[in-house]
Amino acid sequence: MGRSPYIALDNQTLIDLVNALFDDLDIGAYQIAEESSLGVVLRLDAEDVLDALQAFRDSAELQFEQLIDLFGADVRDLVEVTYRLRSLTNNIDIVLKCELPYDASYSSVGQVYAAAWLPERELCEMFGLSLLNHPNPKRLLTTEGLPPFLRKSTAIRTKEEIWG
Amino acid sequence: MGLTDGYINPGWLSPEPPFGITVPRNINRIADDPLQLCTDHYLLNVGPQHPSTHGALRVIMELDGERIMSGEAHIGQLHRGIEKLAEHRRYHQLATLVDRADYVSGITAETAVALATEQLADIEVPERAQWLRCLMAEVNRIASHYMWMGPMGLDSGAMGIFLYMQRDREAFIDVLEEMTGQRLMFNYVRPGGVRGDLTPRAEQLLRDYLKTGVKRMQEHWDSLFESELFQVRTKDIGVLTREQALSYGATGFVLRASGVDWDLRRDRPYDAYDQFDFDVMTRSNGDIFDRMVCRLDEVRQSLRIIEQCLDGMPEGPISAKLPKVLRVPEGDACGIVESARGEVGIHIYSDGSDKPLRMRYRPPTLYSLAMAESLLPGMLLADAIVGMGSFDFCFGEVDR
Repeated sequence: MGRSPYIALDNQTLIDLVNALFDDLDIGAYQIAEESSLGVVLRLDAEDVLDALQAFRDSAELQFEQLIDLFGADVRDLVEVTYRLRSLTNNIDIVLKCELPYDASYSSVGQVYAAAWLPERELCEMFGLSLLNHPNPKRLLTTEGLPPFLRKSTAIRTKEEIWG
Repeated sequence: MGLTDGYINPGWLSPEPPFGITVPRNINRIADDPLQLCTDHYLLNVGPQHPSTHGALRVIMELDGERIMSGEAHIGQLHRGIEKLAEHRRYHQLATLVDRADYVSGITAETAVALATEQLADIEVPERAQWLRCLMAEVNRIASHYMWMGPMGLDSGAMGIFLYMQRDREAFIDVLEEMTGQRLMFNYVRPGGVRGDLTPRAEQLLRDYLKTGVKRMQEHWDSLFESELFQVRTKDIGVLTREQALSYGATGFVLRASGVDWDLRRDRPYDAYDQFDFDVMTRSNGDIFDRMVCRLDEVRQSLRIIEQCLDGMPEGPISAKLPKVLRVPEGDACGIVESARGEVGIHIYSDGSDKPLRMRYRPPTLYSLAMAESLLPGMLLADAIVGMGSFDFCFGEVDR
């Protein structure tokens, strides 16, 4: 019955705090806005993600303690990588999104959030990215030589399987 | 615990390593103490058929005697491409797929799909449907907890408790079968509501169980948790600190056993959870024992929620009126629920058609797997078997 001990930050305050935080950092172009279904969504360049995550984790006001999820999606001939961060103290989530071209290299963020070690391997395997700065950059779920399954160009059945 | 703890120099060994012994790769240990017994490191495959891996997990361990130097999990034996298949299914059909992901507590994953779809399509769910979802999720949660606790007894050397847990689980599986027609793959929660109403027999079964539920929990406590043998095997072993739990993205009972007071049902209430009175059970040590006690405590809270559901179930329709083929507007949405194992999040991208562009299933136990991997170095092999079991991996959802 609404007994949560955490006081939820409202979205506008979060946007203001992120803007203030990014003023001090060397972050390139970024967009931050409230989207109806996801909450606050921050879009930025792939090379700035590591700095941004580091700042989010270490910031005394934001305190994003957890990386809840990391995954990709094939949109418009690009791979959109999504990071969902959570602050338990402030009871709020923020979604970070960056876009990578096909066959690009993806740099690991595991040294900031250890939660990323395994999902990163899955992401790179499923979208055909090459994984950098990772202690164990092997495939996670499937064997070598298989196509990147979650790209739209990979069909769930081959022509041989359908037509014989 | 340091890597060399537990090595005792018996005193009768000659100061020089015996002739012919192979120098282990970890040469520093010899430099520290030349009297130590040196053995070859060897590789051991645990799984994928080992019973304690609770599914299809293969761990390659490098062992020095009984102590694990490093361990690497190899997964994917159960990979069926559920996320890819979801791109070829309509929104009503997604529940069938995610049932196969977390095959022990399917209701929660179905609820996450329904929540994400409802956010995208802006669907209002009738109140009775929300209450039925909560009721079924709690029934399923208890069944899942007991399914895990019994085999954990087996892992740590207690046979009898497995049979008692199965007896109690059967009572809840009967309810699920009565309500959904299935014992595992329920396909019960739909976008907009649920598929079937509460039947009088299901209510009677639950009321009957509630009369004895707490007494049975006491039985479990007395026969397993109070046992000294069990406590020796589980206390202060596999300790996951609060910082590690946060950094590795722990959710659910793993996070709560490490002392973080967080439960999505209370802190991000979905469905009707804001109307129930229940407590979030936390423990402070983060060892195997605490993870087990935490889940046993949760069974008690789930019983409380079930009782409130049965007493206060509102009248009304059980599903919103929806078209046969659901088309949702473009965009993406995320439905998060508290599953038995942690947070299940379903992230759906829609391109405006009748099928999702992409569905992401956030598996809580994939993140637990990384935690277990990080705990392995330094553990004894026998402890590692119990330790890995204590995270309750469900390989249907780790591999998807």
